[in-house]
Amino acid sequence: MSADQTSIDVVTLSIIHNHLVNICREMGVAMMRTAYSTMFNEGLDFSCVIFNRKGEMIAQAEFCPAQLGAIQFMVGWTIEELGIENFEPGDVVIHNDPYRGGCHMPEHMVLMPVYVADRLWGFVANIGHVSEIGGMAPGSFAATSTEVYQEGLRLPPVKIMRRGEYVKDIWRIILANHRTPDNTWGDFHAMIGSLKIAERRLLDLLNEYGADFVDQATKELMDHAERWMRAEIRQIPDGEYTFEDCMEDDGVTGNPTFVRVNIVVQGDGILADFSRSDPQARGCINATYGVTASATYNAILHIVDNEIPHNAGCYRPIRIIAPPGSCVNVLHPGPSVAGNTETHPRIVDAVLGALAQAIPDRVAAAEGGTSCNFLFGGVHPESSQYYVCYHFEAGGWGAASWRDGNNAVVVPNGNCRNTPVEIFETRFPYLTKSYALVPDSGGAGEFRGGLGIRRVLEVTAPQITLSALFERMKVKPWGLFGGGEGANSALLIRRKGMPDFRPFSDVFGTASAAKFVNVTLEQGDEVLLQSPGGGGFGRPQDRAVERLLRDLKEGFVSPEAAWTRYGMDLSSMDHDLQM
Amino acid sequence: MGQWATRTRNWYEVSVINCHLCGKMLPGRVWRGQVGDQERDFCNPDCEEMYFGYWAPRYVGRNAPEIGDSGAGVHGTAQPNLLSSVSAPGASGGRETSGAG
Repeated sequence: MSADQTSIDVVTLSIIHNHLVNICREMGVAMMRTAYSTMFNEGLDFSCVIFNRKGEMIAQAEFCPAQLGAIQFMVGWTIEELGIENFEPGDVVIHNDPYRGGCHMPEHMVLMPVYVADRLWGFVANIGHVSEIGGMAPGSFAATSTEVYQEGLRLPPVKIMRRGEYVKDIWRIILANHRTPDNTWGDFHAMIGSLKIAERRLLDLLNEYGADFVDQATKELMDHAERWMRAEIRQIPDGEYTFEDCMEDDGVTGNPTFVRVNIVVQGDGILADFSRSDPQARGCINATYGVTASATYNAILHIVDNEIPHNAGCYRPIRIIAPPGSCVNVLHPGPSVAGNTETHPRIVDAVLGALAQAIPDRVAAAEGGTSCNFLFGGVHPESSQYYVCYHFEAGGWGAASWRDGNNAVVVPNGNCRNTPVEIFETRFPYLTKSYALVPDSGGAGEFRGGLGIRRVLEVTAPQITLSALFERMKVKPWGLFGGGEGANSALLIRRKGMPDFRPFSDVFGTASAAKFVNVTLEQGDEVLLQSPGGGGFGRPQDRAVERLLRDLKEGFVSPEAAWTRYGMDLSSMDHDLQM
Repeated sequence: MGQWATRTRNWYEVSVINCHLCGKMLPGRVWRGQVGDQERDFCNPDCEEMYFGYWAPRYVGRNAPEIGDSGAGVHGTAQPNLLSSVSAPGASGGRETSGAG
């Protein structure tokens, strides 16, 4: 940032910015160490942010892009609906309503006001995926839902703490409607605890520099982020760029739903116009406005300087049109649980696909684009306690003009971690029979798409109730500029005594092999989960020989694919590589 | 030319209104403009301006043009300067939706 554009020196601004970001990071550490569910303490599926009094986001850290866009709308709505005059010290508000800025129902935001000498200075907030919130399926991913009421308990902005005291009636309603109230109790306290840590650290900062000074500093940081983002956008050629991608089915009708975007770049601003997208689907693959905004921001942040401070200012040059009643802005009572995990990456890919026409050297091919949502619950045979788990898989990312796609990384809207096998088997009655990268699953290209994974689980409990929500079983992740498609995902079952793995639709008669709820697995059954690979970039025959040899050595590419996809003749190569 | 208005909500209301252009949900303060002979709610004057300058000429009263194949080329249509003034997220304004819970 240039000194002549700020009234505060740039060194002090940097210190304050980093201090605020570190507060958010410390919130996250507190969450990780005190939460009960593996979603939080292993998966890190939460985000921590700080807002000013007007509801503008002034700091965030490296959490989930899916949440970091939407939380701005959730906080803004909450402040306006409740009225800023109705907050008091020690209040905590909770909110998960998808129609009021939320992502999808499991994502809960908690928000606490921060006071300096009886004056409201700002807010600290935490948004996290609560792993069980009721609804028609354990884990609250109702893949066959047709309305929001099947997805779980919906909370408008309500206080769960008032002046530091529990609002017991609200807690009792929530705990009575979640299948694992102990986890909810623990996770909510972890979220509230992170807010209290943020409050203490923020007050230290405000006391050190003065509340008004920090106010001015955050304003200048937001303006600085806006200027920087505008400078980045100016580097994109003006014009209109269109792209479309699809959700292959909605879990109810079997029909695909298309996301269509028109990206307008004009000077230092960008418009993402989704007006031509399909109407909202009957099933749960609809995106809320919060999801569409998050996904658009996510895509654009991929192609700009990653040092831009992520605050409200950096989003100002980005405008979004998402017509209500479309698949990118679902209206009540439309369901939306899959929108946050499955439609978000599709929107990201559509935006990047459009921008590939303008800045091909900055975008990547399609990534796997599904979280391979795998949700289960039951009574644990060892503890006799009811448990629920929301498990997701990492997949391959799309290649770019300068690099291969990431192997086995959670979708770009997630930035979450996988759960280690040891923890998974300790908490849940499965035995992991195998867990490996899938050779040849990355799209071929000068730069190869990332690989997906394959995991085989054996059920060790008498019964487990299983639901699943996958995408990319039919439509492959696309490549760019001659790059090949990534491999499909898969979800298969081998019942005890059966010789082969087969689709769930064949064995259980589910309408969809990719989206179903509440099938019952029994001890000895085996499930195969496979995540998709990422698309390739550039022509496979242009791949550098050294890179392909390394792929062969690592097992990422098979000798057969080296010939059929890349045209590499191994007959004259080292004998070891010919296997 | 529109004007700012405040949509009053009773405490028991669960309905949501959305900006007539961008679709963002609007809890209270709206920019109320005129579209034809009807009042329409927007986030702010910028959304109203973009509605008339960009969106309506494309989508109102005509079939949406083909978007072409995936990865289709640049459309070099000249556009008025629509994106120079933008508002920070959180500004309110909307399009009434049905389905109060």
